[in-house]
Amino acid sequence: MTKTDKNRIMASNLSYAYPEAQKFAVNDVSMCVKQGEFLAILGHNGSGKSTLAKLFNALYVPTKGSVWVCGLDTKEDDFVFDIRQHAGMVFQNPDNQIVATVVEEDVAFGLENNGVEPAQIRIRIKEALDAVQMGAFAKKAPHMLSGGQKQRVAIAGVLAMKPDVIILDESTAMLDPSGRREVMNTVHRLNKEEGISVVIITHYMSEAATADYVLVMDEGKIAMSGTPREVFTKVDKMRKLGLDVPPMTDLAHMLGEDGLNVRADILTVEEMVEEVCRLSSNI
Amino acid sequence: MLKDITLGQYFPGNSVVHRMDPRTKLILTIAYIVGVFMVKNLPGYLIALGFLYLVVRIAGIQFSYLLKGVKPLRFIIVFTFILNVIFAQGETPIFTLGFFTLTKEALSRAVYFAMRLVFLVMGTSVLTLTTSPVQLTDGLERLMRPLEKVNFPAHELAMMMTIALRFIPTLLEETDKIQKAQMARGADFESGNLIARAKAMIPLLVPLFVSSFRRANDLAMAMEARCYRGGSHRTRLRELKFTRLDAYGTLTVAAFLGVIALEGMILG
Repeated sequence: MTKTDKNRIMASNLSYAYPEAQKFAVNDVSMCVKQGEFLAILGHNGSGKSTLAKLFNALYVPTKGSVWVCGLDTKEDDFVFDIRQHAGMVFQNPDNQIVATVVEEDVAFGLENNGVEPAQIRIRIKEALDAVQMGAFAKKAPHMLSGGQKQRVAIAGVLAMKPDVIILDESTAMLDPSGRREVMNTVHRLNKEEGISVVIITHYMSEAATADYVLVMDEGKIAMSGTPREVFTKVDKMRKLGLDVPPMTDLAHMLGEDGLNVRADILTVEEMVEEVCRLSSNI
Repeated sequence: MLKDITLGQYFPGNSVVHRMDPRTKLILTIAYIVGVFMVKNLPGYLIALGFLYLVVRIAGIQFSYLLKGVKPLRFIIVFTFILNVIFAQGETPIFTLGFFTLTKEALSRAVYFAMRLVFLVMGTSVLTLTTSPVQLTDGLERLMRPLEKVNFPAHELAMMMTIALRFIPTLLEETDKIQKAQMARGADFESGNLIARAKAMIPLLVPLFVSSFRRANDLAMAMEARCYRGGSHRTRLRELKFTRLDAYGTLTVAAFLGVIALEGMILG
């Protein structure tokens, strides 16, 4: 086994092909997620990013290569449930991942599966729901909640299992902007305060811009990687991969092309404001 | 229109009957059904009626709710009544109309059959009115658990019921959406005879069916990701516990059965 004390997830030469598919959906990927890291995986449809996420959770078993989650090889059948407890997963459609008819029971679902004592389950439900600020909704029916609230319940369900990594597989794709903000704020807080590593699979550049590290997938391979600044400043390359860059980075890029001396690695509106002020004070 | 459908019509409350263990309530309902079948004469039904009235009052539910439960079944009840009147054999004719003779025995039999149905429906409504669907599935799972020894899938059945309950609102919402989408494309759900209307349902049902399968697939994946591995070694958040209330309930139903039996013996 490899040295994994700092690496929550480690993939080495990982490949996966769907049954009866000719091509590898994930092709020779090596990467790692460190403790407390916030990683974003970008890519257009069919780039293999969701498949990669499912490999992290032992939902799929690698065709070639290996994934270790907290030091456990996902190929070992005995580890499957431990791995799923360490690496919790939140899916895209909020309606299709809530099992129970009451919020608190849904949060309890994973714990019940793992045979946790009822008294302990109570405590953990409360902690988890409070952590996603859904404590007031414990007794509500899930279908009465908004999309963002449902996703936060799903996160609480994962959180109750005390995971080391939370994987969000396009969990904000079906939400409205306010729901998206709710979910992202929650995830960021958990990452900062509880030190839980986060992997988000997304095609929203603004979400990826807030990550510590970004991987860009294309044709099952890692096409680019680096900090958001490093990745997004390569505007042309991103475009070639069928991806956008955050609007402000795009603006900076266009201003740069027009001959203005603007920093190229701008991600947010605040940074742009600062940069424009700096420029105008120079004039 | 679709939002009106409720399953089991749970009437939330905090009465003694509500707080009883769902297992007890299930068993007592079965005992009550046995009791209803023991009734052989009119005073017996009066006793049953009085008993139901008592239970419903304790539960804080209006008696009219029970009658509402009978309403959708009125056709079946009338149908059974007519069938019995026509086909039951008897010796004391009341009147003859052509080849049809109404006998006293047939009439009384028909009345009892109809009464029996009404009382069965009312009794079981007491169960569904005072027990939430979740509790009901919980109770059922635990009652059926001993059967798991002979490979009866008790946990799986209960899980399926829970998931079905969970998805009723979701699927209703979706049906509504598809219906509107199809109407926007010119689908007509309202006019035409029965067959035309049934045919009009096809563009509604096919997409609903397809998406249900997709949902099932997603849900299975999500359940697996959350360590679901069937019923073994599973704990439950809500543990069911028998309390003093269950003893009281059992005594009440036992008293009811006793009175019915006694009444049957005296009045024969």
